[in-house]
Amino acid sequence: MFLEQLINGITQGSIYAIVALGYTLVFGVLDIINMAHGEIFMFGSFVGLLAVTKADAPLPVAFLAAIVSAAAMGFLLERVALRPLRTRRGASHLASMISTIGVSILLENVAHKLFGAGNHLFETSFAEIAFHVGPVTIYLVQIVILAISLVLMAGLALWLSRSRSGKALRATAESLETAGLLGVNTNRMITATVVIASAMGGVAGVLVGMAFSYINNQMGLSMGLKGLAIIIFGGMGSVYGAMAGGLLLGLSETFMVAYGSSGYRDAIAFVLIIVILLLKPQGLFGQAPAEARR
Amino acid sequence: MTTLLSLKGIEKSFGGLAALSGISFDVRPGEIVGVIGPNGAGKTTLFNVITAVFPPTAGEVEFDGERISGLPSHAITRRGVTRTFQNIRLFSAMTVEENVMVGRHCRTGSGVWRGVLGTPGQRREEAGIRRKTAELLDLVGLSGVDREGIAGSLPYGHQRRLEIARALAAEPRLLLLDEPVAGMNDAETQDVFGLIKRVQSLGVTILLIEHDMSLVMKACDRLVVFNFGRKIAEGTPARIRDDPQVIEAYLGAAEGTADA
Amino acid sequence: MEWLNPYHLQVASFVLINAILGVSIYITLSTGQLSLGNAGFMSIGAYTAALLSTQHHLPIPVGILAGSLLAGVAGVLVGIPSLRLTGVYLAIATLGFGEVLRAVLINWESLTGGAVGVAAIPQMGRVILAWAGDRGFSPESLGLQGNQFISLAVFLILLLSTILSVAFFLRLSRSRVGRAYSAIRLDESAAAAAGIPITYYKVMAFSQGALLSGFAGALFAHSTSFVSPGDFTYHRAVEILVFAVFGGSEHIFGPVFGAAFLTVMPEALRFVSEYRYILYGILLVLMMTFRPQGVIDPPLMRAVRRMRKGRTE
Repeated sequence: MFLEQLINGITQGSIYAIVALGYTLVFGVLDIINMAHGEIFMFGSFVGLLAVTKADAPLPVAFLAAIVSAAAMGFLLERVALRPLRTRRGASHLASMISTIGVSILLENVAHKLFGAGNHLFETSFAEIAFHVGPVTIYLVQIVILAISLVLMAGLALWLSRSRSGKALRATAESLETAGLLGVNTNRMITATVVIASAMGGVAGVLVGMAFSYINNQMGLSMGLKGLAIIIFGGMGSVYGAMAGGLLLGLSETFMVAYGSSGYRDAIAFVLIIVILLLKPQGLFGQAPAEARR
Repeated sequence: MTTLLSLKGIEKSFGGLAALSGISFDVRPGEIVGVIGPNGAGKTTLFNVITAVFPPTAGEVEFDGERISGLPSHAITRRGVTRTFQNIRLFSAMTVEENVMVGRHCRTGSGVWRGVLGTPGQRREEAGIRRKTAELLDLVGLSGVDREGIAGSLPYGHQRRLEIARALAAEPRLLLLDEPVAGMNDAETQDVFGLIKRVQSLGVTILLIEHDMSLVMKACDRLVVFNFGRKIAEGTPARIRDDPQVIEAYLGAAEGTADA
Repeated sequence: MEWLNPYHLQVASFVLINAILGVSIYITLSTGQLSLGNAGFMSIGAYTAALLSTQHHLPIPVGILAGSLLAGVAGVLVGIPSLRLTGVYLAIATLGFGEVLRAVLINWESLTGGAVGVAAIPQMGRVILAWAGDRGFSPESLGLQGNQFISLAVFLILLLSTILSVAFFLRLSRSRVGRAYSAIRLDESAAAAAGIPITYYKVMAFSQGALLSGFAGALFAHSTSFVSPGDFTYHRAVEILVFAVFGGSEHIFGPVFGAAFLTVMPEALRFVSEYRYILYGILLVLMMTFRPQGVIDPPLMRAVRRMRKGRTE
């Protein structure tokens, strides 16, 4: 029924938003699309799964494991695939993106070797807890997901605008050179950015497992492309854009499946891209490119 | 036609910043007009407006009686206005020859099929382009340079000349030169002065941005002086040199930059 | 002729189709546009050829021509709005286009057969064998088995197609239009100032790439006899990208070399085949770090030319 679909849509949208926040953070600072973000999300999910099923760990520990492993992957990504390109003169943004495509292919197939194809059950008793408000059933998981995504968005926005390190990050995003001259350790900032973004991907991975019970190693690709669609729609580098875009996508997909044709669900994301690129290429909350630049 | 280029009330702002305000002046055929002023006065911005790198916020540019301020860059080039850039924008990965040949694009017409099939007409055209390229390299004093060398590996002075050759390949009636002798010593500057005069004798009108006062005074028939995006003076070099407003604008920078 | 192994010919045929695809991404790259939508254009060519031959019984060449042209037209339609995008945005948008197209292919079952795809597409080799057989020809007269003949026929058609495509675009790159493409890639603003109509050439390059992808797709349909949406996924788009990036993105022989090398390697080394995509991934990262322009670049080709000139003197 409608209200339940609405809640489903918000849940889905919140997870999308968290993934999109990871993308937007990296793009905002490095001006590159981390195409491996989706795969890191997927790996985080599987690590969480292993923690719960193999190690019989409680949920918070699973979260921790996912966060740590995702953060580690982000760290490696930055050091191995991104930093060497930065020091090389003449390497374009496209080269960095292609490098992350390489990492994403690598991760996707390593996951295939490690975890095999097909769906894996992600079962936690936590996921069963539900409330019944009149005719509507709301799961605790759904509330937790919404809460976490709001906290992350608010936290990110506050951190970027108020804290000293957040401002250093924004300075690095504006101009690598200038920030460096002003004493910001830009390398560390950049590494921190990628690590934080990846950790967020890991969080989203566990949330997906909790919310939908099944995970598979193709999720990374699908989530990756959709996350991309969201930030293009919302505006690359915009935190509000990631949230708004994520919620919009989650809601549209849920309603398309519920009331429309479920086969087209996955295409909505790309239709969004095409529409926004035709109407407002810089995205909903994006800024118009400066004329005099370059 | 007594006016080749006519600027009418050109305004250009970026966001809140006004880079050009109320710029109006004319350029007559055959003249060499110098555009001078302190750094940041809006001179290159003016060139960018004329060649449609971006449109003016207000005002019009007329070339040979026709309004060109709405046209795309390549169409303006086609009509006979070409330029060089303040910080040399050659196609550095292409050869010396290819750079000039590219300049010839709008005066030639072989498309995909003629190019692939190599029709007699296309081959004649290519030969013609190569001939013209050789002539232009000669004109700018690069006849001794390896034509198949990579443009980016040329010494600085040669790169500036190559850029001029590329701009001349389109057979312009108006040539915009943006600081053509920046970073050059006296001997090189003298060479470029000779080149500018040769180009003028071919019937090309020249609009010249320069900081090198000795070149400006020698080469230009008239000067237009900019400061803070406005035109503050216009006239012959002799008159401008004594203009109090101009002197004031250059105060602090004056004696330093003038090599005269 | 027992050495004429249909399996080897098949691998060689895939190399050739991949080479054409590699060239198709190269063309748009040569104007500075990275398009990841070529899997989508390939699917247009493949499905058009497949449907025209299975449902409307049109001859194979008609299907191939129609598929290529339709893909080219799609290229114009996608290329024009893409003009306002650069770099990364363009890459993602074109990828998105490919995915939307694939969703349409999966869902428009009445037209495309959905996820199941289109089967029993006339295979070029078989059609030629039948046509020749009707005229009293038998492969044994050449010392060939039936299946050898079929594989050989397909291979030769693809070889001719590849040679023509590469030759076409090689000559183009050395002509006035080719110079315009290079100028646009190196410095769009300066190219415009030099008199080159940027929009016109960028869209043209885009549609040429699309047309070539469609051509490859149509040939693919008539070689493998079966197409489904699964042949045109993001993975295919990335594979084409890897050919160009690894082989060389600044010279037309680059993607040809990349396609050949990366198609043959997994066949030659079993180990490589199992970990193929993992190696692709590592290869991409290494190339971007150490040689972003790819293996074959203009300086290398120039050195080769100089060496050959030296030898003949």
